[in-house]
Amino acid sequence: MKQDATKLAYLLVVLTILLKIILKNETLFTVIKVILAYTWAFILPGFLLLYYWGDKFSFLEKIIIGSGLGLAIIGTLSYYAGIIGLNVNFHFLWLPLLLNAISFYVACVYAKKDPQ
Amino acid sequence: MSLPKIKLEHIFLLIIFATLLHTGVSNLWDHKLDHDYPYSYLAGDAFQHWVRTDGIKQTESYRVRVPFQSYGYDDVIGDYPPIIFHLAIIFSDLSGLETYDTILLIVFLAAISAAFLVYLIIKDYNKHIAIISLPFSLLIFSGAAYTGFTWGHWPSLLAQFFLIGIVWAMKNIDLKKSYLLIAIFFAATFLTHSSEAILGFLFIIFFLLITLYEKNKFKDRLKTSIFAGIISFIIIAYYLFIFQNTWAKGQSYSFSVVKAAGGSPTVQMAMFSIFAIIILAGLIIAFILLFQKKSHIATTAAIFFMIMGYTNYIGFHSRAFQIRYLWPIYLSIFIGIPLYYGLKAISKKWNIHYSYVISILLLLLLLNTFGVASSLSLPHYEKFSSPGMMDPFHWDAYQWIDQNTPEDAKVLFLYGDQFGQTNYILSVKRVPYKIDENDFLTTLQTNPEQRDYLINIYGDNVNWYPYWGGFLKVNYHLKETDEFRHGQRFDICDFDYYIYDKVSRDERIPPFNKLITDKFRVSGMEDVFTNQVVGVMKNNNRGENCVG
Repeated sequence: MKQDATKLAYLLVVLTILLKIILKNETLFTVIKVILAYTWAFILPGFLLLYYWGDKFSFLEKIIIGSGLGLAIIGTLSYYAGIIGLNVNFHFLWLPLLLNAISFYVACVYAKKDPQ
Repeated sequence: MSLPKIKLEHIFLLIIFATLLHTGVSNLWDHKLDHDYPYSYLAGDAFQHWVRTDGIKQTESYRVRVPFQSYGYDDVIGDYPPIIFHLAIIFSDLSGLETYDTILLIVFLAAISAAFLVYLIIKDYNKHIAIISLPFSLLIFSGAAYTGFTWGHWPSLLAQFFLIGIVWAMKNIDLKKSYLLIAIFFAATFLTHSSEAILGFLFIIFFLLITLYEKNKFKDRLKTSIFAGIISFIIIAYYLFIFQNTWAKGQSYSFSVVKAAGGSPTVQMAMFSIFAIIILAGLIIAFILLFQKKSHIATTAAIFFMIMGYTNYIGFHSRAFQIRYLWPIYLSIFIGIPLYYGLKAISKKWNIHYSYVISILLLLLLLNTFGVASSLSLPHYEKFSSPGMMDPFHWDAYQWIDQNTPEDAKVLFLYGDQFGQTNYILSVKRVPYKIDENDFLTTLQTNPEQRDYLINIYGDNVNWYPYWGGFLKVNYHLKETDEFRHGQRFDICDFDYYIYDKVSRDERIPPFNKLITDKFRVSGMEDVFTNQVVGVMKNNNRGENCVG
């Protein structure tokens, strides 16, 4: 997991540079905010959850599938949280945090185990 | 902290990612992420999705729709598959971008991720083929396929990312508790754009049938799929009930054959030119592998999505055409297979570097480098950038109304070049009424002092505006009243605010707006907002004669 954390950190730096070059009319601050927001809310929860399957998935697979899982879970939970009366305008504060905390716990427990 | 080992594959993938981001988003968006108004919205559907998103922000949940979307009713059930709107809100709140930017950015990033996800699925079959296939995905940002993004087919595109997630999860079905992955992706697909969930269900059936045919762990896989289905059902149950009482009633299946998407460009196989022949060759090879029981989920999924793209011939209507927006991703393996096996037959010492070279050459070709692709009439990316239907002048006017008028203000749109797009005028965030253009011009020419005009109300007018009539009971406002029937005449003086364009593509029309607004002024109305393009007037004596 430590190795993956290092890789993720480098990836975010590379993506920041890449996006700033491609989106030349955008400020660096906005680029950084967008990358961090997307990673925090949509990539990290799924990325960490995939540790449930131990080392089955590569770093790349965890990033790509992780973003799919993150979007899927956050979107679904946000909808139902709204339905039960939790104001959608505050979901950004607690929902990714909660999901990342749970996913981190899963990752810590299962990172070195292989359920297969 | 030591530097991770950099592989050639990582550099290759970064090049592809940068290219997709540059061609898909950056060029279109003037190389910016943060815009002052809804940018590159080229059709009403785009506004529809953004307005729904901001509506949810306003109502604080999607239990009910925001009233201005639904003729002012404040109890209409939130009936559109909700995930994309919620994601856009959370992304907006975290990043500081406006929801009109985040909703589209999420779709772009999901589509790019979909290309890489298919790469991973193909890589599990053959890395060479995955590398050679990947650049073909670039064509999702060209021609008719690109209108999926610019014309607002966003929920479908995001749902297709989840749909590919189902394929990936099925690939891993033999993993312990893989039903969780299948269930999460299936539920998300349904909650994003339900028709793709039907495809997901059909794909799972297709996959299980192949498993049965290949006599490969059928019972275990069936059990896992059923378990995933039960979990999915539990997750989607609440929205499924809403769906059954809204979309399923309004758009029930009927057999028909349609050959083109009405109102928006259609992705046709012929557009791929010579690549269509390569795709056909890939399809034949995939079928041969299938019949030889040597298939891989990457090939069977491509077969499946190719067939699904033609279900417009069996009654799947426009939903079939939406699948085609991502054909360059789904069918990319059909490009990679013939090229790889063909080239490998020529060069016996084929290695991974050759595959990278072929892939980059294909990428350069599809980018129309040196005009090669266009000179050979091959499909290719063409740079496209547009601010879309919105402009800063109208945006300022709509913002002014949103921030300075009561939520129940009655707003009438006079003539404007863009006012014919129903979902566009919902940007005003008040219940919009619009004057019938033909009647407006005719009446002003024949009897300018006439007060009654053909005036229609507009909204997100689907599913008859459903509301809860009791426990598990859904009623429909529009089935209970004729009040909002289009084609009725109303008093033009019975509105609080009037919006009109001062300029037009047809210079004969602004004088009509001027004629009536001059009468408004004489009767005591005041100009409350104006710029070079748009004017807004306030009626302080609503109901009294304003044109006499």
